[in-house]
Amino acid sequence: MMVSSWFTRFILLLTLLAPTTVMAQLERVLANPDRQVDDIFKAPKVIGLNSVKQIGKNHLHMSILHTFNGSVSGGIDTFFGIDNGANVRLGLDYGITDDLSVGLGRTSNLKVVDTRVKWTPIHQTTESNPVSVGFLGAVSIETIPNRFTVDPKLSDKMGYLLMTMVARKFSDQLSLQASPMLAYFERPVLLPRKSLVGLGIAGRYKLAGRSAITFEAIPILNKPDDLSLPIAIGYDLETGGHVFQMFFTTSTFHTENYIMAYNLDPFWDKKPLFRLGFNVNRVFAL
Amino acid sequence: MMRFFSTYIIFWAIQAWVIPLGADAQSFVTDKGKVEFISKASLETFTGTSNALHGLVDLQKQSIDFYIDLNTLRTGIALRDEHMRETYLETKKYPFAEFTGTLSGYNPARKDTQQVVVVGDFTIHGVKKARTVPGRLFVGANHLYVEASWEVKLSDHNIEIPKVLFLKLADQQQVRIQAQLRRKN
Repeated sequence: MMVSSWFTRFILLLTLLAPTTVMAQLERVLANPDRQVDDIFKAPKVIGLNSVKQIGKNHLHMSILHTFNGSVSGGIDTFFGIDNGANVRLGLDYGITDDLSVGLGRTSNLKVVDTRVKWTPIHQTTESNPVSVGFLGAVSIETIPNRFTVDPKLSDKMGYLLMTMVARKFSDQLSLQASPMLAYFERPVLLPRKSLVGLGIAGRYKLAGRSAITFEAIPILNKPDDLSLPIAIGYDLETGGHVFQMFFTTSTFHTENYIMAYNLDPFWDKKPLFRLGFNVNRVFAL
Repeated sequence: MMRFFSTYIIFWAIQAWVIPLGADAQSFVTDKGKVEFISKASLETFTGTSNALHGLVDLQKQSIDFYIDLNTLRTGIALRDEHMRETYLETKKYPFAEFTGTLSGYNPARKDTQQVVVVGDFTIHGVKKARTVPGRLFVGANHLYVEASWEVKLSDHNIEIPKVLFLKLADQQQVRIQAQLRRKN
């Protein structure tokens, strides 16, 4: 009896206290705890290699990509390669949905016009998805006159690219991407074969809030002897709606299939053979 | 023993039902309030909005508590939203903006919209600032309407403004909240 009355008083005391602890503040709850991870890469291209970054629905993305034709080993005589002109790709990309975009570009060397479709159905999230996954398909056509000596057909000028992108943001600073790809040229001029299989790897290391160091390489699994490993090292600077990219690269081209196929110089061979380049990205909401 | 039990039941009834009913009848909540901020910089003016403002107003305790998950803010440009979350607000570290304070100037006798003042703490980007904010309040049968507007200086909250190339984000941001809270039963 003693125990039970003590117990009753204890319960009574608890009930007396309970209503006085009515919450004065709301509990802070995240709207979506399994949120899509932001900013795996700052721009739709790491440097020349496409990243899983999308354009955004109804957004128009304009990119001006330059790589100087001469290598920096030209020294002051060619002003580190800048005097020899640049290979410029002007590009427009449009986001049909947040996960699907289409693009059109035109590169000055070989006068390549290219179109592409990028689809990123899987996104890395804060809880459940460890990686973002995207697919890219591109068709390009070389419109330079006299490119082919005998009776060129339209199909002879075509090139194709299929690529998968698997990316993960490992920390606030570090993001990595692997991109297996297949490039096919209907009638290659330099290449001893029509197709190239590449395994693109790319990374981003964020420095301060708005800048990052980027890196990419595309080892070619069936590399012909006279081609070199495409490598680029860059610096990203983001200013609101713009992303500026400055980089050192082995290839003058800006699309994956041409980066692989026209990469004659190594990054360094007793002297630096890379080129200077810079990209300007601007996004418009339509 | 019987006496203990009857006392207990009576107290329990009073405590658990009668008192909270009285208290809760003066308390209003929402999770669908509207937040808007306007950034007016020399080169760019834009608005960010969210419809996920959580609020609790207790007229008896004269307390208010509002918070928002900053990840729900949208400015109309996906890239800008991403930069806002990543670079400025750092929502991974500081997901919430909060305003908690005490209500004064509320007159229960008035049945129209009235001016009130909230003295409290506004927190964003992990930095708490004491603020006095005037607002407008209307209490209906089952709802309470509230709107308020104040200025937030980003530098007060250690939010860095980009100085590189373009100045497109204003230091002084106009923040506006608007919410319809329902009576808590």
